[in-house]
Amino acid sequence: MSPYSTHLCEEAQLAFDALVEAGWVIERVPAEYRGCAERLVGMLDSACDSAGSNDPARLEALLRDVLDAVPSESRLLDEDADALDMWSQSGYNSAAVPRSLRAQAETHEELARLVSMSVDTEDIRASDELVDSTIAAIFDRQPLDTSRDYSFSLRFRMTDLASIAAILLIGVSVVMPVITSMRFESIRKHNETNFAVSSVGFGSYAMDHEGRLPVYTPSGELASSVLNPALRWWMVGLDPTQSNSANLFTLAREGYASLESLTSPGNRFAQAGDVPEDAVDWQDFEQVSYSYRVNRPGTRNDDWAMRGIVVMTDRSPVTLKAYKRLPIDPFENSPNHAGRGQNILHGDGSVEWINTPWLDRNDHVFLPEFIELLITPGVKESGMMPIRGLERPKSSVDAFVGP
Amino acid sequence: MAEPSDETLVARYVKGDRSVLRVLIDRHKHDMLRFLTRLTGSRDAAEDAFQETFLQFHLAAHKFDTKRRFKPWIFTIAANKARDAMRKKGRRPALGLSAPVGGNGNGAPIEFVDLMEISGPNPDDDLQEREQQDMVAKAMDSLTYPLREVLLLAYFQRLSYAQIADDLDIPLGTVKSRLHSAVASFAKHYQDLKAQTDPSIQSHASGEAQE
Repeated sequence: MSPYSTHLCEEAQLAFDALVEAGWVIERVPAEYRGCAERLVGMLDSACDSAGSNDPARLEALLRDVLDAVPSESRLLDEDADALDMWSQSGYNSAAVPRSLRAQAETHEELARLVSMSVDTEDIRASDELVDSTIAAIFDRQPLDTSRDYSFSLRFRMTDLASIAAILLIGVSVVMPVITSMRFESIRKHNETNFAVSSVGFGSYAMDHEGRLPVYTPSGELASSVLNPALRWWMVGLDPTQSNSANLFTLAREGYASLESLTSPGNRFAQAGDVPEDAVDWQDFEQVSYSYRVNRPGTRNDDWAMRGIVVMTDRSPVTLKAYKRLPIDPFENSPNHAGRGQNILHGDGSVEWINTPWLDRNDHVFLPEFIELLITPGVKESGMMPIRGLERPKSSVDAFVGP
Repeated sequence: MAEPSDETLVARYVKGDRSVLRVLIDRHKHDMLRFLTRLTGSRDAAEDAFQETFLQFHLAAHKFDTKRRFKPWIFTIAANKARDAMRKKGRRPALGLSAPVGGNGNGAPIEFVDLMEISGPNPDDDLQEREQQDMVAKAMDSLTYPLREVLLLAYFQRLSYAQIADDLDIPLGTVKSRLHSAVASFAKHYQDLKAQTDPSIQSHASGEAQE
């Protein structure tokens, strides 16, 4: 009978799992399991020693046997994965997915119906006993901390209470606007600094790339496909040759600016850390904090480097709404500043704060000219023609940013 | 008169109206238990998680933002409690919560699944509904816990990637890669099971690498 246990202890079991997950590379095993994982590998090694055949090939064969026992992993084809992302981003509505991916999105819809079917089975029903015991367990515990006793231990007259309420009200009415204003100013300054840092990055990039603004790839072939007017520039995280945010991401990817400097504190979905080293774009539409000049086919490389040409702005509210198929409001400001206004970065490197999306020359910073012509700037109008992620500026001076 | 919404009931509960607890539980009890049973693969673990979910609700109700929808919130608590319940019963999730899924390291080969090759659930299918439900259940059970969890939250609860990441406290990129793997594995297992039942259907397990 073997003197050794045939079971691993719990710690060794965890370390073994971690070792398999790490592909048997000790360095990849989380620190808390690494020591034990090293001992496990050592045990395998000494097993060969005791057999009197310290043969690395045999050890390798043994490990390969173990690895072969790991089941194969399934992955989706790229277009199925893209369709899943688009379907999710469009609120799980396959009709809202671009036509090129709609068939795949409909398959996801069908599979989701199957998954739901597996949950919606009439066989499983919660019994009354389960509900009763759940409620009993809850009320046996400490009472809900919010079901506190709100009554005062001291007796107050109504006039005293009214005085206290009035004092509190005055206090709140004085303090709240100050706090709100401080927060707003802090975010505005933070974004302004980000824009200033980015402007240096844009300038340096242009110096190194024949005056050009950042694009996902500067190669002639792909650069021309980037300019293809039929491609959707709001495909964030799905296809860097289409996504305009991938062009902006290039600034961080190539080290001309940090990702933090392209991240607004006003965007709660923004993500500056935990980004894969080989990332070429933000992973999700809502992570993008700033909107970047949409390229117009045939524009000269250096056509942007002057005041009046808008290179970057706080996040466009228009694209956010249009992407979600909501009516857009031509007077809405960027959500980065709670709708109070937005920073714009001019081609000469200056940063300007504007509290309306309309520039002096009646040019809407978030809309291309052909849509501007459909609305009257003096009249607030909603439910206008939707943007589809295909639009381009009419000329090199027409301000238009996205996504 | 219209029934008060879940969110209204939660607000009343927070203010101290204990009677609404039973109403809330009654509204969601069957869905919740089914969801948990599918997630844990065990009725016992599901019932434990069920109790823990509502206990957690009781403790955290005052933190609930009534502008959010109650159902996705409570089901996300349930997913977290299911994980704890499985851990207690010695059925550890196969992957740590923060471990990304994807990539085969130096080990298993990758098999690319083309969803368009998966014959979908045709209503005119000869398969009886019951049989199909069994196959779906088996395909679900074949997934590791983290994959099943994210698949149910996305496909069944229809939560956005950002919501799932927020609620499970994992990076958004992990949600994405985990969901891609979950869908691929589910589709592959389902198709394989279907092929076993009906030999005229080809198992899609081609194992072709994508370039």
